[in-house]
Amino acid sequence: METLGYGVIGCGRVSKRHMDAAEQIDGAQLVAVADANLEKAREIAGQRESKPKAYQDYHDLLADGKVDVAVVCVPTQLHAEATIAAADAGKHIYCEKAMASTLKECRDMIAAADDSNIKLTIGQSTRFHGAFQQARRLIEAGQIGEVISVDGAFPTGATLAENVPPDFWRFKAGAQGHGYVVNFGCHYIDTARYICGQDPRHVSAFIANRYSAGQIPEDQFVITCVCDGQAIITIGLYGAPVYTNAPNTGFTVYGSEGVLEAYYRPDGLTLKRGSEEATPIEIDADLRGTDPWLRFHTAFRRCIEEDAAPPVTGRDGMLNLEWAMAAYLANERRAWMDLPLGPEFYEYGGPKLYETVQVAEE
Amino acid sequence: MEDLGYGIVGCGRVSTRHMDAIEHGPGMRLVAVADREFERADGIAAGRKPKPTAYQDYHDLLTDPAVDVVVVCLPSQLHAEATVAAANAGKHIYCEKVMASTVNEARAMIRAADANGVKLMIGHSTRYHSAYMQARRLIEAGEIGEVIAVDGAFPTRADLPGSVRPTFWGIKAGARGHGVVMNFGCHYADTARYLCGEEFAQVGAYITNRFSQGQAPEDQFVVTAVCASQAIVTIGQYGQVDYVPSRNTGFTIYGSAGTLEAFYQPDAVAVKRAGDDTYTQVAFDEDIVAEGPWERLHRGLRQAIEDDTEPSVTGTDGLRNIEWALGAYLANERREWMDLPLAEQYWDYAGPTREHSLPIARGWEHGDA
Repeated sequence: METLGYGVIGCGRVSKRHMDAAEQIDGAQLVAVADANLEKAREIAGQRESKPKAYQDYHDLLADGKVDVAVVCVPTQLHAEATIAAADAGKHIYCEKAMASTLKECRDMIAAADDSNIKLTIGQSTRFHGAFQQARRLIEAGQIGEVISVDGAFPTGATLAENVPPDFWRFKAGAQGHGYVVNFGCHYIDTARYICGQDPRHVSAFIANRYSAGQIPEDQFVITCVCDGQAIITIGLYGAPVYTNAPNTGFTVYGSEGVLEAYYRPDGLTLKRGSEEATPIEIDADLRGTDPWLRFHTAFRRCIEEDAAPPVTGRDGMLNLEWAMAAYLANERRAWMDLPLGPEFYEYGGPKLYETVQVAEE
Repeated sequence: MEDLGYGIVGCGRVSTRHMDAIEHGPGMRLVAVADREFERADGIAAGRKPKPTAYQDYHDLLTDPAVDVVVVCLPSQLHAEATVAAANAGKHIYCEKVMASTVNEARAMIRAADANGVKLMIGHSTRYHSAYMQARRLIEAGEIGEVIAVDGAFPTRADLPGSVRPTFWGIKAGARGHGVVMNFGCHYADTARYLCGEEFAQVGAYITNRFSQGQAPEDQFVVTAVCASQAIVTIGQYGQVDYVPSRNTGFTIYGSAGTLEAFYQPDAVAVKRAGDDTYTQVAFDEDIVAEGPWERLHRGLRQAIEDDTEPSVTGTDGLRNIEWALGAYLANERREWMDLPLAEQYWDYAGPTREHSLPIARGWEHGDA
């Protein structure tokens, strides 16, 4: 396999994982990083073994002939602009989740990738956790029959973690729709869609801010959706002032002939068929010992090599955002929303959440 | 405590539990049973010691002065009529769940009990399963802080169990609103209200019939209710073709300072406080396991009569539970959230009409209960 050059745009907290992956997987090399703060880009480039070139303006990175794959790690509201520029420059793109701020942006990103005939994947890394990958394999093998229901429960913190600065871009005034529904929810719905192999058709939601007014836009939600194959997906995020880190964080999947539990912890997969006892399931060897980002980047590199569909497509990223936007709308209107959302919602960017969030301007 | 005489109205499958509880309960004596099928009433009476009086018409049972407390075990759509008649006869009442078919019926039952100065208890036995009682104690003791969310998951079978005849009143055409949302859901809603210690303010629902067309009115539901405190109660019932008795059937309760798992398990609940690495098993208190749910309900009612206090599960509890179920049916039909308590315009609403999906003979055959 030929070695492709990777350029990372945005040197925030998530970028390290991608730089690690670009340095570790076959057929990849970290060649460039960019950050609006040039000092930060230089400092991070200096720390990397592969000594990538540091840029301030990502357009310069995109003009660098050594870069074949752009990894977009800028704040969500800038994803569309950077992704379209990268596609126009002929680069393959790994764009972090959430894909974008609106469905229109998602559609433009997909169209740009198609026009330039490059691969676009969206960083829904959660589905690459071993327990969730194994769960999908068991379901595909018919171990629990038809999927009836996917019940996802995610206890989390209701307040900002101590290591997150209060002006963190996700929570800043003006960054609409960037609460937990978009930021975390898009991972959970992506994983649920992946596990059950179905897409949402109707969405109903209750979203609240119980403990964190003034800090984050929302800290509780339960979103129920009904899929094209009749499966019901319920995703609950429960923000507590004191985060409990429950061992059963993840999904319980009820099938017509069995029940699967797929939790985040290493031994978190059990299968129960008929009247059998629930049995712990060992994760297949190829899914063990590798972190989700490495597995994801390996799969993406392979799709470029084989000119195949990316492991997570632009459409996947768009459907996940659509679920989140439909949830915000359903909560505001107190009514179900049908998916796909109509063109009148393509520019909807979520509620104006920041009326309740008192965060200092930069 | 003086012995009170108990009369059972309706000798269907659930009535045996009540007769057993009454025969073993302090201050209770089984004195009468009634069933429209007299041979059945008489046969059941003959199996009890001492033998209670058997009646065909429950109105005759209600005029029997030996009867102080009436246990209503008729099909749900007859609960209101029998309960109001019992109250007017001056009898205390234990009425089986589901309390009634409509809000108006439930309100009439509460009014009749109040007007006659008799106690009315609704048979929501599920809240008195040991795991749920233990969970409530831990919540009351502040072990998990404020309740943020209650997530109840109930896998069950999608079709009728082999032991239930297809003409069983609970799922018959014409017996509206008697699908699993009403029949099972009202227990789960009651237990969730008991665990949270507060009432629902709004309800949303998705209800469907996926595998059981022609048998049960519905076999899948997810009903989400939100309380005034913003606590969220999600109750899912997932009807399976091959029922898998899942070990985590029951409630997971997420609190502001911990998580609790209360499943249908034999001897403990699991609690995890913030900062703990793992769950801790909390064994059931001795007084909890010392008594079954039906014994507890009956003893509670007997004590409430003795002390002239509110029964542990009131008519208002029964009403709130059917409002949750009827609100869910409405929310599903209208595809929107319904406010609770239901507005007056819905007080005669009895759930969706089932005739279309249920090719089952009309009319109620008493013997099938």
